[in-house]
Amino acid sequence: MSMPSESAAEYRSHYNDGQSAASHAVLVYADDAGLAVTGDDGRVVDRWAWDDIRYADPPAGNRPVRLSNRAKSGARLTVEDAALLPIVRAQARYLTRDPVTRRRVWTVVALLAAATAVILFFVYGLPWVARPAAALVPIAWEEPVGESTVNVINELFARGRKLCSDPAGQAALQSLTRKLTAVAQTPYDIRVDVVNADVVNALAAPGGRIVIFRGLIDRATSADEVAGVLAHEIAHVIRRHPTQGMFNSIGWSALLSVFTGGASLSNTAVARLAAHLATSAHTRELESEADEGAVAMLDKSGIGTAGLAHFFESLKRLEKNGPQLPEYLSSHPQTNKRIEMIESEASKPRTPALSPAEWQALKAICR
Amino acid sequence: MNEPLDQKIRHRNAVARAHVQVSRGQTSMLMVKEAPAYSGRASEIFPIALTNLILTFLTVGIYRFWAKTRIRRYFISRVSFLGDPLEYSGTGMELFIGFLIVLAVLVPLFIVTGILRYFLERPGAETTTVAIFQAGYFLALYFLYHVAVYRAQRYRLSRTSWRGIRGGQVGSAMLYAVCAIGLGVLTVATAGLAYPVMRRFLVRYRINHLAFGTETLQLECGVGRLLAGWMVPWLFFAAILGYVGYSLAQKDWSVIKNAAPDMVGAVFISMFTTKVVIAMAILPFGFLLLIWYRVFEIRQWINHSRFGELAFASRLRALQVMFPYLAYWFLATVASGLVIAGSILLMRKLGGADFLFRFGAFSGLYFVAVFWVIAGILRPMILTDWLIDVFCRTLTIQGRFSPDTLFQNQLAIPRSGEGLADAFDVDAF
Repeated sequence: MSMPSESAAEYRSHYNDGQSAASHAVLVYADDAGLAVTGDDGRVVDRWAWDDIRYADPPAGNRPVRLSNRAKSGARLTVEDAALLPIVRAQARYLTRDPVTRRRVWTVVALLAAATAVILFFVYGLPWVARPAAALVPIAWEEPVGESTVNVINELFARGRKLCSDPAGQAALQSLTRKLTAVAQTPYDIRVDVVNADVVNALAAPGGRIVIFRGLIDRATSADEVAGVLAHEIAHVIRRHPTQGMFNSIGWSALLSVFTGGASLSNTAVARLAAHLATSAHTRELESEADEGAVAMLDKSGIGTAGLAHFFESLKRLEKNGPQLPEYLSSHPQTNKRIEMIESEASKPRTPALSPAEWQALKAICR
Repeated sequence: MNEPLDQKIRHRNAVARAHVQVSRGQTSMLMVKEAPAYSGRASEIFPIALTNLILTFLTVGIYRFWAKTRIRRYFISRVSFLGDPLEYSGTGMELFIGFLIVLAVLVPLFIVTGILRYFLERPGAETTTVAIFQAGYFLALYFLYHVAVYRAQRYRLSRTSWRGIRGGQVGSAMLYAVCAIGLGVLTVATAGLAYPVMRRFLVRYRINHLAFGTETLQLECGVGRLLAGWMVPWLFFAAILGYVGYSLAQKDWSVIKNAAPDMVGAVFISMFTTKVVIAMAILPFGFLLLIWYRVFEIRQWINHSRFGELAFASRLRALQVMFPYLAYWFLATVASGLVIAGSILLMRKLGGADFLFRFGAFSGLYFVAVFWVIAGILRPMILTDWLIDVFCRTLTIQGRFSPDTLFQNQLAIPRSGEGLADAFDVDAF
């Protein structure tokens, strides 16, 4: 017979010493310092300090609670007498989470710093590196890339129709291009193609290639409008934005494919959205740069900026009918801002972009 | 590098045996014949899966390291042997640090190769240069993939314990990956015939270097039975692909070149006779044979493995593996369909259905997101739970076992884990 005594209450448990896989039936005593584990002969085989004790597994349902010891890797105590648990919960301060040590704090600080550095590099560093890197790419390398880009775009949009090639229209387009490039310096031999699709858009590809969609020429009310858009795309080309954009998107897709862990379907969708958000701020910057370049070119060539301004006005009317994306979602600056910028730099036309005959020929380029 | 496990074990055994004899005078020997017990419950998995999903989404994927750790800890702790549960002590932070290390290596690699591919892999490029580049790129990824598999196993084993005794893995991940490349080339060169040879080597390398405490597993498995089993799916695919290839090769393909542009499609389709189409239609059933072979393989590995004086026997059947997958896919599809249909009806009532359809890309994203959420919750609740359960129920561990003389191993414990495996999405568990 043993007398129940407050200081010497004993609790049945199983004990693993962390040295071997043997399981020992033990009695555990609790005191101010922690738990004392005693073997069948009454000798104390192990002492666990309260602050070292933690749950080996999060407790759940009626599973026996298993304790481990921070200071004794591998040692485990499986509590069989549930009366011990309230005492452990009251005394052990770090059952579920580790104490905050200086080392842990530094680890978290270092991780946050590393994560911030990665994000900063991709948001600011990558565009910063892409600019000089793009300047290093020989133009001859870009040419086949530009060629295949233009072909792919034509396949995607023109539904089997060939690039528009009416000779008079092409001559008009060429004379317009020459007028604009005459006042700018570029190593590119710029070539403009018209894709036979009803889309109001134009874009610059690597290798000095520019694509204008037929829809843009159809909707344009004057040659000056087409000249404005063309000047914008030429400004992209001169600043080598297509190549920079390529470097940027390769960088982001590399980061995101590693970040989201493989390329499963859901990850791809999320990654695309994230990449879009991340790169759109940068492309907005490039667009503004191209607007500025276009204004300078239009001014110097004497064509004037009224056409470009008019184009953006009509773009605004188009946008009114459709959904308007907030600026942070859009890859282009808000049209209002662009119009303001152009009007602040407005210059009077001195020469028309094209003669009336040339303008008629350009409108008929896809025939 | 690790010093040979044998030496370590021998030394450790000697020290520990002396220790035991001093303290107890005798060791207990158990006669074991039982299956590991699995006690997972869907109702306990659901809250873990749900919170994991929500937090992973809110943190743009960063939480997944902690999510993986939680779900692993749950499943591993629900498997017990001789009355004591297994325990997983890895942390999300370890996985996250491993990930950051790999990020620093892989992202620059992907950027450089991405730029090279951009300029190299275009129409009209020099085909030999492109071929050499692509082969090199593919081999590098294949190599890293196998390194990832091996390292991930080492990390997980070092964090898994039973009665406080840790698992571990010796051997070299690099050597393993080099062998994997060599055997992969052999498999391709033999049109897949040598596949079991590769599998046997790689699985044996992983299992024979797998330690639990001071003891390693031993897998002795002849290649004959594996080859015989592999013949079932191999012959099926060889027969059908051979027939289709032979029939198509008999046709006069120059007809297509000379056909009018708008007739090319029709001429192309006319090449496929009814028999060829039927042959191609039954091709997907070959995947059931592949599952059967995988399960056959698993039985071979288990039945020919020993751990000390313990032997293993598995009665796992292919159908027992196929059913959970079917149930999971069926339920995930039906549940997503119901949720999507319900939300469209609701939006129509509220007058917003056209919003969903006007933004084609966004509605697609919405459908993907619904399936992702539902599959993410159902997968551990149905698939993982069921597979672990059936695996444990069909497994028998039998033989003499002395827990007193199974000692803690002193293998180096990796400090961070699985970065590479994570980057390659090696496993979804």
